[in-house]
Amino acid sequence: METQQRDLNAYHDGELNGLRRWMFERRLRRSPRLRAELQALERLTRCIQTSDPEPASVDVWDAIALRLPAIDAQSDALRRGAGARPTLAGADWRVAYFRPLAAVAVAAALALVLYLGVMQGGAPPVPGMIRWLDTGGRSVMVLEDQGDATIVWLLEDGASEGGSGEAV
Amino acid sequence: MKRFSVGLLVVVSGLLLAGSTAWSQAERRFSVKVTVAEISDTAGKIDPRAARLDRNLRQKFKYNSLKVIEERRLQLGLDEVGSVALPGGRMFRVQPLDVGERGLLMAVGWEGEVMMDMRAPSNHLLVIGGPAHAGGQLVVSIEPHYPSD
Repeated sequence: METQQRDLNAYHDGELNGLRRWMFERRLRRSPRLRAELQALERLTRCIQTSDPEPASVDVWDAIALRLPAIDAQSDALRRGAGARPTLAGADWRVAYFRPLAAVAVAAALALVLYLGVMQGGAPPVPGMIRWLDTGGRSVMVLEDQGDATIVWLLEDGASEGGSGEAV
Repeated sequence: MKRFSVGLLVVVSGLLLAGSTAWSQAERRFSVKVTVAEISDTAGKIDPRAARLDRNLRQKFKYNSLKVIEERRLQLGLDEVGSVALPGGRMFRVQPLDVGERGLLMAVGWEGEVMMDMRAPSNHLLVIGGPAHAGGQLVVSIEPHYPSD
């Protein structure tokens, strides 16, 4: 985990080269979580770079103190309103109790669907299957009906549609 | 007591069997033949080393010569990365990820051009081509070879 974080930072800073960069980009393309972390890091960097630091206000107490009674009154009103209406608080333990059971039921249903799909209705084996392809936006032609061969042809830009995507 | 011993023996045997299967899978080696070639409209020969590549390409593309630039046979374990330097200095990489009934799942990368995951049975031919090179087009083919279980 630490290595991944280190690689993420190094990649973000442009310090990963060669094989390590390639392997990290592969992980990045497969992991939405890692992509989200990288985006968060980029946002943070942008934020730091573009932020215009304002001098801290020396005395903000007056502004806060003026708002306190209004906030207290709002909280009281919410509490009173909540007391008058039926709440879900009583049902919370039931939700918590049934949640694991529901998860088990969902998992069992998924397992059954997968079993039926694979064992009874599964697709016949295909000679060669491209599961994932990324050309960085470049146009590509995939010819998978060649029997014992699969041809991936990179086209000149603008020749046809392309990019990245998942296949069966 | 006897029943307990038999049960223990069964459990230990099962663990050993599972462990040895996982170990042998991790230690398995795959031969991946990588051929780097160039096709061109210029009149010339078809390199006999790339006869299979030519047979498959010719059905879809028109060219007059096919020259093999490099031919490598990589011996790779699971998750091991094999690299071949392409003309121009870019790298072509293959990494076996998993093997199953439908074939060997490989991560394939042509630096700056394409990255892909592909599952292919033994002896299947994967051809990637298109980038311009020396008046023609560069083509890389890979063929995994491994004994079935």
